[in-house]
Amino acid sequence: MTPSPNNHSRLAMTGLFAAFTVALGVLESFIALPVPGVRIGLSNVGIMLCLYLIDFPAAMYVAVTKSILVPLLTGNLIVKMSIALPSTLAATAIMGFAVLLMRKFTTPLSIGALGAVAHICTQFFVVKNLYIKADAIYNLLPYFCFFSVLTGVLTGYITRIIINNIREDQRCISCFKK
Amino acid sequence: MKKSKFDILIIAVLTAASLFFMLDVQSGEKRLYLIDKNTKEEIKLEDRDISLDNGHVIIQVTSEGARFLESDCPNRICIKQGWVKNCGDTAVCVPKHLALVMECKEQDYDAISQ
Amino acid sequence: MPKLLARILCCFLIVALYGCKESYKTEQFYAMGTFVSITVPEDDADVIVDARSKITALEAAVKVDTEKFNKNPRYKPRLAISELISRGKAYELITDGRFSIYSATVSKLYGFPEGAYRVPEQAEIDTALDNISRGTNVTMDLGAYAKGWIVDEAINEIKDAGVKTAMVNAGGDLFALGKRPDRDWRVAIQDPKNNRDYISIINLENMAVATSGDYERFFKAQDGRTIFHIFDATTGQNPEYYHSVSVIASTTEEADGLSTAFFLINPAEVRAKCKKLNTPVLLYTVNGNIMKLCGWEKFEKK
Repeated sequence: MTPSPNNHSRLAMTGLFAAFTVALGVLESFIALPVPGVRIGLSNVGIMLCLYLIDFPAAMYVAVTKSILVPLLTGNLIVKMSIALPSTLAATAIMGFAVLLMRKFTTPLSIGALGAVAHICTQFFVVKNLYIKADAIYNLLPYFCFFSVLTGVLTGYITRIIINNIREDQRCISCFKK
Repeated sequence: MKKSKFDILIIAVLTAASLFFMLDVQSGEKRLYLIDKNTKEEIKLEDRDISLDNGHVIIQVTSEGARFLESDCPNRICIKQGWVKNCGDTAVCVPKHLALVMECKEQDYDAISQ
Repeated sequence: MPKLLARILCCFLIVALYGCKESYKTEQFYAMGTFVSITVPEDDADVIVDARSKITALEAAVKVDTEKFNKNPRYKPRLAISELISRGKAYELITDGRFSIYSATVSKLYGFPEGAYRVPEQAEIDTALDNISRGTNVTMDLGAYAKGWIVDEAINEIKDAGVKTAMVNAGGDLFALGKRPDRDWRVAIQDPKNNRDYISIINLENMAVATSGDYERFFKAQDGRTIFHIFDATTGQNPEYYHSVSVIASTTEEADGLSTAFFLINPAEVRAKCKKLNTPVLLYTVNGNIMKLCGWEKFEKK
């Protein structure tokens, strides 16, 4: 990936996205969906914006910040962090890889879905290996996987709207590479 | 950015995969298990309550199945997951390392030697 | 036109799949002190009647001749039964006399098989052991392997009728004739500690398996000991090595007899003997270990 126009602006934008992502993460803990255990994964919007508008290292940085700060702000620190950190990093890695390979012929819609599926799969893997050491919990994975595709597409859709808007906004043109 | 066919393909594959595993329904003889971190023990299906974690978690068992009745974990997801009654039903409480699973196994033998 | 072709293909497929699915008929009845089940292909269901009457006839023959012999030691049993009696020698040799067709001399002191159960005085046991070693005033019981032999005879009856695939199961002592259409016969070995669990599942084709366990017939003595139906003919006591012993062999008689014989000797001896006899063994020891010997694993589910 080519570097952003200048390093200061890159740093500033990364910080901005990190703050945005953490805010979304905290906000989301107040949104209860009717399906138990399912989250929209709004903070993924911030990470995806980073991937598309800045670069992969910046996205990883935001991912780490988010998965440490959000548990810190919403409680139940150890359990949440031990699950969130690996799964957010895995999701970011998968999405980064997908953007790198398929940027030309995909949009955030499918990237979001991929990331969400990667996220939920890693979550299950971590829970299975750290907390409930029984294969039986994988019974639930298909359901969560299905919902994660939906929420992933939703966050991807939001990301796409934001990207399209930012790109048309004159003030932002200099901030990001096309 | 415009819609792309590739998007639809990826989303379709992911959905199909999760639906495929969802429809992979088990059948056969039902057995209820309580998983507590590393241990997995079978629970007899008879009316009673099981108290765990010094009474912070209560599991209700009936002849049909079981559910988390009470738990002081933050999100109470395990309670919302409801009854574990049918093959493959699972309720998980991650903060307490607890899970209820209904496993079903088709009899895959023709005779028993005893 | 392609649609029509597809439909025809579909029909073929359904017919082919249906044809594959051979269905079996199972008849269960009570004989030899246990539930016996005979499973044959539905088309050959007629053979069940013959096999069943063979089993009842042989059971009666064994019972009558055993009783007559026990009343009068000079009684000459019919040929088939005296052959069966002589086979007990092999198991006696394998176990250095711990196995005996006369061990009922001891076990009846305890009240087996019918009860009222009690723990006999040591003097009574000593007299019985003395009688067994001298072969006088003894009670013969072929129960350790007669059931297996009768299963084999029932299988022969089924085979003679031209049936290629069947199973005869007498309370866990069973013979699997041929294969199922799509696979071998599969037999689960029960967990002695939990009757809903299995410690092994094996595939059998023209082979027999039998299991002896300390949970089959037992009583609780007043001092809290559990006393079960298998006795060492040299000590008059229960052997103390296993909860269950399963043996795979080419005849049910051998599997049945060996599962009792191996119950009486320690695992090292079992290992040596089963190697010589080429009979896979599964031991569930009293301290809960599962030992698979002489190629048992090869029979387990792939």
